[in-house]
Amino acid sequence: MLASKDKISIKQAMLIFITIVYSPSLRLVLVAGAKEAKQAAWLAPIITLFFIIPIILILHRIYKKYKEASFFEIIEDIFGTAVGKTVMVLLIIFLTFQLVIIIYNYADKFVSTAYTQYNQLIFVVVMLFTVAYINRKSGISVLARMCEILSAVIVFVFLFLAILSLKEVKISNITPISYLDIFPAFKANLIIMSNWSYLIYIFLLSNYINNKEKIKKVCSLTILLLAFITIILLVTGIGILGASTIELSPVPYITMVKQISAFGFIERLEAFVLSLWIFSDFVAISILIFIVFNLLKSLFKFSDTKSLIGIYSVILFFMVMMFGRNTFEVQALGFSLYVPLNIIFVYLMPVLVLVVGMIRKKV
Amino acid sequence: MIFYVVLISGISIYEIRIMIKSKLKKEMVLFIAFDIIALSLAWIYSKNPYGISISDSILSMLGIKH
Repeated sequence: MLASKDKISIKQAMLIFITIVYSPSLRLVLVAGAKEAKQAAWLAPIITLFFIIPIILILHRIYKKYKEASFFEIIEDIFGTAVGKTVMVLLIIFLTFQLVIIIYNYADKFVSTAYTQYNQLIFVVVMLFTVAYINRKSGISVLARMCEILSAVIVFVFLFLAILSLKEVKISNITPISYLDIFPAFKANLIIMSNWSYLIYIFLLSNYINNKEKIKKVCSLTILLLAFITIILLVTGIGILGASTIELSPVPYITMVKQISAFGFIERLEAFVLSLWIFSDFVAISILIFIVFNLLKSLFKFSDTKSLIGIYSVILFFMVMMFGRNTFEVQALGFSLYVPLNIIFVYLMPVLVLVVGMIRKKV
Repeated sequence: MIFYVVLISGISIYEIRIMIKSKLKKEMVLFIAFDIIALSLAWIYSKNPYGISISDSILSMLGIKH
């Protein structure tokens, strides 16, 4: 599984993807699923599969031709330099805003659950300092090796908690299902699509990923595993708490975990879940910063971008601190603007690359 | 504001010295642009730390009810 020093394998890239989606799945997918599709939310991941599987096949086709190229090089080759550079600049701005939303949500999660008397600023500073330090001192391969271990822990802990909580699931909370639920489930699927868009973001680091000929197999298996986990999350979350309770709770998964008690001594597991959340957020922030700097490197033909991490973290800090006066403003921006833009931008990009590439006989 | 200026200046001096040694001229240009952005954001933030909301401004600008 281990790749060369500066490169990672496609398996490691997918383990990074699983680690990244853990945090937003627990926080956003559960709330959005309950809000949009109520008892039918657990159908949403199945709908998402119909959108993400074709994207995996498209990526497989593109990287069959461009084995060692960076994403920027592919865009530039297919669309030309001007379009390539414009797309890169838009992506850098978009990813910066995405980073700000992730960091805001990460800090807000602590302030609204375990550390209600603390200022958000402390959590933001600690995270940005750690990410900047680790990004400066090490590369993506170190992050990938960390994810190899922790993605397994994340999946194990999640499934363990799901098994413990299964007996509390009320079937009446996740039924009845009829054909009328397809549209609400489709709306709930949008947030999952946005969440799984990290799969495509990871391919912005394609020049760091080895054995891309296995994209179809490895990515499809990862997505099927993730769909299964998301269904379990929605069944247990909505099945235990009910859609109406989840809609009103800022972090419903923690509320659900607090209710778990088994054998008289397994209880108060929320601290463990929170610590895994920190790790998931840390990996997401690190990888997105790494992607931004990879894009900057390609765009300006830089030889080294590590010196820029410190000042970029300062910019992120001020943006996070001014991003929202409360969670509701940030959530409103996320759901009404960021999610649709993310879906259009990220899912459309590989399709356009394939179509234009085929017309120009380059793919 | 003074704290932020000192922090940004500290980072800048440290990084620019490294960049000069490594002859990273192009990187230095972007670094200075980032420096200006960071100082501007620090000035805006220190004027009204709890009153500014980028989310609210974007949503209001686009006419999205929230």
